[in-house]
Amino acid sequence: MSTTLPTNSASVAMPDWVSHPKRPIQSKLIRALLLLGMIILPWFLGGYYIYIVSLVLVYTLSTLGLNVMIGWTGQIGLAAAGFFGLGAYATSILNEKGLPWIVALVLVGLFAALVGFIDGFPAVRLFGFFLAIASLAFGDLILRFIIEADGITGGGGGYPVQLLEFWGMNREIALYYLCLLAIVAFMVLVGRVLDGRLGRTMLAVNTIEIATPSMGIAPPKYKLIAFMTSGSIAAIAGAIFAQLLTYLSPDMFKTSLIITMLVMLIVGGVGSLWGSFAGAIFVVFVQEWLQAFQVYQRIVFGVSLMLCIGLLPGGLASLSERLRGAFAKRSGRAEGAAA
Amino acid sequence: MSTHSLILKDLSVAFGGNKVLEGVNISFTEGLHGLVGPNGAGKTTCYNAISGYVTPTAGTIELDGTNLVGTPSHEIGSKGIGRTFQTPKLVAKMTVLENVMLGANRTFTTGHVAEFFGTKKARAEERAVREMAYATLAQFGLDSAARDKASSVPLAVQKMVEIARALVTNPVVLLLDEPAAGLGAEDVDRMVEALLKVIKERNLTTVIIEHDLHLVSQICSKLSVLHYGRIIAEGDPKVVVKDEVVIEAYLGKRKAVK
Repeated sequence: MSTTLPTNSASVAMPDWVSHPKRPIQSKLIRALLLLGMIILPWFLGGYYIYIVSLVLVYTLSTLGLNVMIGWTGQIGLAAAGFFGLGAYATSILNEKGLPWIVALVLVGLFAALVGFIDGFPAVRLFGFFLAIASLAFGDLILRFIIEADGITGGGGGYPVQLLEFWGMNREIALYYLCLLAIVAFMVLVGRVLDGRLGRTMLAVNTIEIATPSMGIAPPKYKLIAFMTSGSIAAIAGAIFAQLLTYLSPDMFKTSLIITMLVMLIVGGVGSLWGSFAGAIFVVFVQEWLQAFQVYQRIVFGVSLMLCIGLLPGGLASLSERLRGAFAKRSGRAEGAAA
Repeated sequence: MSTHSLILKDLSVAFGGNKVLEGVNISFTEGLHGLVGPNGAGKTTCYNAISGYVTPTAGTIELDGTNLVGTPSHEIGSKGIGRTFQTPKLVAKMTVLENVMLGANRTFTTGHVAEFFGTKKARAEERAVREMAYATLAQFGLDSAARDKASSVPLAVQKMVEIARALVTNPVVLLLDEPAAGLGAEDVDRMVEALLKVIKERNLTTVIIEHDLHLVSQICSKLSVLHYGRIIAEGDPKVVVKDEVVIEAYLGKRKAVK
């Protein structure tokens, strides 16, 4: 069957923005300034705050994967906490067994993609609530394995992480840059892919699944890609998280973690990569602010979730657009009154 | 470009005990073919069976001699059966141009791994697809709306965007489901003009479901009338629309008023 381009594009005057789409200069500038700010940040912060910002970056990374699955592909997969734990434990164990940390990280990332494929398999047939329950159970299964395999993982007693050494550099600062490198790399790669064909197709599977086969798109394939990507990113985030915490316990990865991740996702903005960042800042801020009052943390998270779902469905990421709209409306009204 | 044929032979579809299509025989061979009938006649079910969305209980659907029954719906799409839906199925978040680009899925020869690494070929294909989508929009006079969000454009534009997307799939047979429903006369003229031009240019076998009998009799070369899942009339549209059986199916039996 022919797959040549059906329309003679040359016969139409093609604007430059069609052939060479470019990001607006303001957007590039903001990104560059933000990156510069993040690079020089350790010069202005003390050790504890560097740790806090590192935590924000790791949480952002873990939510990034969840965003690809829920925000883009619309699959309510809730096994991310399990994958986060899998990455934390597996990378630390392999590193302790003598494998260089970076090699262990890559291997665990690939292995998590494979496990993500298995986790995503029910998505081919299950939808909504049923898929959420199935994937939640899958995440719990990973955690159960971590607890039961106490000969390798230390079980409920926990596991001391073999710490990375950074050629004599300050460990907190080096870890911060590791987190920054990871988040920048994933933001760029995931952002590029989501801006392209894969992102378009995932969004189509999310919102007009019924119509996609008529375009030759097989929705199950894209759902599985989303599960694999999400699992892999969560595991890589978990591996870095282990280095930040230095000691692992199964309690860190129990089901309540997925709730925290969902708070980051929804408060930040479902379907927005920058939203993941905003959501992570919010969660870490609340966790640190209310460190001594866990119950209040949950109340704040619960209320924020309800407020966002009801009043700000696009999350914090949609605030700028909303404010722009409100200003435009106001200035329009003012101009109308003046006329 | 050669003409492609889509032939339905003794096609039957039932949902439980409800027979929606019964022994339907139609040949869609060239040009614009109208498929009409009252609500619930089985027209959209016929499209759904062709597209692989529902499995026929009996009969065959042959595209250029190959039986499509049992083929997964996305493979049928890949074989070149393009379609639109009664209510436009567009991704509200995406721009009009991006929505049309979605249709070009089978045009890409590079995979998602190449896209991930941003290879030269993947980038060139993406650019070619953007240009092709824009050119197709321009054929419908929609180039100025290319950057608008799909959710922000009127229904008439959404319907034409969906047709443009179906055309970008490079179909061998195009199935249009009530493209003119809910559109004003001016928009219908604009859409029909662009559509007829494309069909002629590509010698594209096209089927159109439409309730406006006047419109279909003007633009179609052949008309089939479905009623309660059966074909009740077929042939020259100008003759078929005057057929007593067809008029009765649409308007009911004439009764003498005393």
